[in-house]
Amino acid sequence: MKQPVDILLVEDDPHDVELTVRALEEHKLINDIQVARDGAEALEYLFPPEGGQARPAPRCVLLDLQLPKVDGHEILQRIKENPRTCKIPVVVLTSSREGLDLERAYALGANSYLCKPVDFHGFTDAIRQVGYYWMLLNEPLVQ
Amino acid sequence: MDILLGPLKLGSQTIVAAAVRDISDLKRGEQALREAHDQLETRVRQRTVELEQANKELEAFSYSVSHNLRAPLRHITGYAQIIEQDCRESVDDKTGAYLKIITESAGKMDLLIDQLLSLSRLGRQSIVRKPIDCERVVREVWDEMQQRGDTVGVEFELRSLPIAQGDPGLLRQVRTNLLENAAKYTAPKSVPQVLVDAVESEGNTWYRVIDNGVGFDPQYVDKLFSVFERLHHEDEFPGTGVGLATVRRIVHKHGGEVRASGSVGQGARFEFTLGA
Repeated sequence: MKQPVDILLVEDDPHDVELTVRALEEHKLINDIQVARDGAEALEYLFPPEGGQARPAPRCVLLDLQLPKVDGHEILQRIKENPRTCKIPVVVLTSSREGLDLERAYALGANSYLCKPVDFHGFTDAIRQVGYYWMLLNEPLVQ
Repeated sequence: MDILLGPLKLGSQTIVAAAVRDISDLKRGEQALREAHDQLETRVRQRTVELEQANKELEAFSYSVSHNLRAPLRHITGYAQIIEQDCRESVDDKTGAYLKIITESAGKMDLLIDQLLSLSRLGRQSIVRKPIDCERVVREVWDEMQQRGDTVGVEFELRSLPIAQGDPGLLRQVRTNLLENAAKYTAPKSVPQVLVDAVESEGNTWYRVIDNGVGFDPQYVDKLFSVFERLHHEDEFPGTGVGLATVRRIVHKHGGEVRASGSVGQGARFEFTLGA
């Protein structure tokens, strides 16, 4: 069985993908990052269809809320509902600070909620802290 | 018809007297009143639905702004800063300065979006009314400003303020915006002075913030409280032009009034009431 991927990044905006991956690599926090560019890809990665290759669950999921095809909240719900994936920490990373989004994300079981700052240095700093916390500090559940 | 029967003594006999009234007009009047009342109820219900609809649309608008305007801003800042980082060797001072302006402008726009969203959220929320110790609030706000170093050299006087009835969080915001303005616009003066007091007039309590700062041109007083309108130059006095608009909105929500007076170079006076 393959090693689990460090981070599954679910993000549709290619620029945001580039900025996030760059921030993670800059701080050498991760070895392996998988990008899903929309909700459907994320679900396919996490829940491969019958007969498809089983994959180990990622150590952490960075999830943007506003995604085409399948909304981020729905992905969050699917991850937290499924016994195989419910223990993966999910960090919601989004532009919205609106109360409704926050409430719904926490209600669905998000482990953390980060608002993407506009300033890039602030952004890389936030990503660095997220990476450091979830990859190094937080005790993962050994599957 | 309205028929009233009553005994009537006529000499030694008691007869029944009947009074018959045509009350058609009365009945018509009552009917008209009932119909008008029902119509009013229907109209109120309709207007409430329309208002709720408008509120929902505003929520959706704020949400859309949150997500959609912020993303391109983040990209502008992000890539400008990447260029700065990656090309540090080859970027000359002028280009570096231009990149910095790009980043700062994007940052400013983000701040404006934040403040506009706050302002719009303000319009939607309903206020609570509690007794507020205004003196304590002013003192706390000023102390915080002092700790941040925003009040250096300012002679500050706080006179006795009566208890107000209003929303504590929102009124604190009013105080903060007015006091921060007072400190900002008195900073260039050799002896900056800010006075906070309250006066009774025409049955109302006017809460005042008076300063001896750079003041403003009174012919533009109507623009002062409009969103994004500024009467001073950005490089002299940084600001976004939302502070006073916020003050006005909060005060109006309380059923109160706000007004300003001043003159160029000779300070300004801001005062507000809070309605019943």
